[in-house]
Amino acid sequence: MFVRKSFRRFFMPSLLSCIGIAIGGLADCVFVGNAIGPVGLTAISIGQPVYMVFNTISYSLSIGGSIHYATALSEGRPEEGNRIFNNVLRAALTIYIVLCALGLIFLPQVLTFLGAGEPGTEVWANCEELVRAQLLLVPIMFCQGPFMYFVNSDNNPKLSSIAFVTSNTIDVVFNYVFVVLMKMGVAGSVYSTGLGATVMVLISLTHFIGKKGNLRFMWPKFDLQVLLQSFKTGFATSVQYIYQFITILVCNRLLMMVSGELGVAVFGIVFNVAMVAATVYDAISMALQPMVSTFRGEHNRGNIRATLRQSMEVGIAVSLVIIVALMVVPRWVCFVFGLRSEEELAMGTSAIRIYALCVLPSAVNMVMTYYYQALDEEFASYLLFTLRNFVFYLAFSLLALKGVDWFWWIYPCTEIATLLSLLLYAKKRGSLTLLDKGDGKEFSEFLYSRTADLGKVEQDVAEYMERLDANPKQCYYASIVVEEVCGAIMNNAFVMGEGYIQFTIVPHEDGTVTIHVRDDATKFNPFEMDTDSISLDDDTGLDAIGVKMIKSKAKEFFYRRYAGFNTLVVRV
Amino acid sequence: MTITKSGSGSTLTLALEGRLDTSTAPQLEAELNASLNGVKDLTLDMADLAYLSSAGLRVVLAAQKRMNRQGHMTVTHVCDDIMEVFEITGFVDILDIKG
Repeated sequence: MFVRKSFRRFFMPSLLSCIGIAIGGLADCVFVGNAIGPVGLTAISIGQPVYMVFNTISYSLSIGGSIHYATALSEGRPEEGNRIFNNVLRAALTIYIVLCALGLIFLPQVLTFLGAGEPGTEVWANCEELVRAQLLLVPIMFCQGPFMYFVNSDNNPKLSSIAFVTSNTIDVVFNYVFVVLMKMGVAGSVYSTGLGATVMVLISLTHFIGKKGNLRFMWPKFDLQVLLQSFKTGFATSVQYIYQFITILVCNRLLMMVSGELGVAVFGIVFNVAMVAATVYDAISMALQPMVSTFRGEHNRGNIRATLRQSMEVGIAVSLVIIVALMVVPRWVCFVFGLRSEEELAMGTSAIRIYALCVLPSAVNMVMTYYYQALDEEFASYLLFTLRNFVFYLAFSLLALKGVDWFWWIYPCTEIATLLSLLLYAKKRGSLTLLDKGDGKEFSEFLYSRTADLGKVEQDVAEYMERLDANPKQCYYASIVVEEVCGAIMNNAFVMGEGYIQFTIVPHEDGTVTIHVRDDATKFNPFEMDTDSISLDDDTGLDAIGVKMIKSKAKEFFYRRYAGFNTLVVRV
Repeated sequence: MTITKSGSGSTLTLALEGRLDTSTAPQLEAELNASLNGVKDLTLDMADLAYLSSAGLRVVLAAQKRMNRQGHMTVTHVCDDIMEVFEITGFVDILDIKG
């Protein structure tokens, strides 16, 4: 029940924000497809790898750099943090400008490499227009990464989110204005993205003007080590863009060879439909990952399994809805993307129906990939990700050589092959969840409301500690922690008596125990209760007596509001 | 928790056995309310008390304040763990703790 309620609480907002992002992504194809037709969609597909190159550079440096920045701040080295930020920003800008200048100088060669066909054709002209606009605007577009991640790490996630949402909205609105109303052609979709990016950077700059955070502009000494470290750390996340760069490039060229521009245009549509489906699973991951991470810290295998089960149920339910929609109205989907003639609609309908066959296995594959990631099973996660997005995808793309109708089977074949690999791997490891059985020494209990019998729970804790052969003092303080912390939460944080508390006690080899307390009440940190105001003479501050005892005797204690829970950890 | 009453007239001894926590504190509170009228010398014997939480401390504090008005209260035979709780919370300064 705890898991179900929490999952629902996270999933819906995540789904809405992910759908918002997906709409931003779809806008390019929808507006260009309707205003220009399949040739515009082809140009967008051909131009995709350009973005992937810069995504790789931007996300590697930004994500990795911001992680090192946050570490530097947490270790009390703010100057080092600014050195990292400015090195990353300067390096990213320099790389963008150099690559873009080279791209513009060698534009015909770049277009040939991307598979734009022969100069003088309509497809070539559209691709040239699009890629030129991309290369001109890349330096501003991809400055978004460093600003978004560093401002977020500089304790201003709100501004970072506002900037992101505003940028996305401007992109969608001006896509329509530039492409449909002003008939600026395929380049209009790039200009709208550039405009959105500019606004995002401007919003992010207010963080520097206000000087609320630690981030400052400066001109530090060039530090290759910082850049390499940042790139290495962020590369694990951005490697997906390298995979996409290669797979899209290969597929575009194969399709151009076997079916011309229409095949590439339909590929662009299927790619976008796949992105929307992936968006739903991203939303599931945004609910799954913080919950699994939290429960993992508590050694709470039951809740980890329940979270995975819940994620799978939602994933499968959503998949069925997507499958029905794609199977029943594939022509509508093609129509939305601007396909009109019978030939276009026939190919698009066939491609979408074949794609629909992969939706269910892809739900399982994606949920399991995110699950393994949250469980710190990096190898399993990376294996699934690489097989699905690169190895099998690339291998099955060769189906195109048998004809364009065969090509669309790339999706079902890739997902089923990945699923089989997952099952084989799970069999080898002895379990799909990859959870060890544990030594059974942990102790966990629930308190369901303000009226729960705290005395009984505290006695259960005492009996458990005695079974562990803990020394009397430890038994005593473990009971005190549970009773006092849970009591404080029930009295101060539960609204109308509602709420859940779950606590877990994990014994360690050094004889200490860690007590994890998690509740779904309103934000409340018992350790912030004012123990200085306790006066036995005046009867004031007596509520904080228990907390004073814990603070005096615990080896470690900390609180954090994480993923919608209050979580407390006390070690005694 | 078991509470054993002894004494006569204005003297009362309550021997506490077990755990004085959230669920048992109301029991001691009720016993004190029912028994303290006319008592001038109260002794809380904690020889067999194994556990005392903040809920129990509040009842002890209330008893101390009432006895300040009508006589004297002594706490006896306090084990090490409970003594540590009294020290941490400052109760050692207001209670008369003996052997």
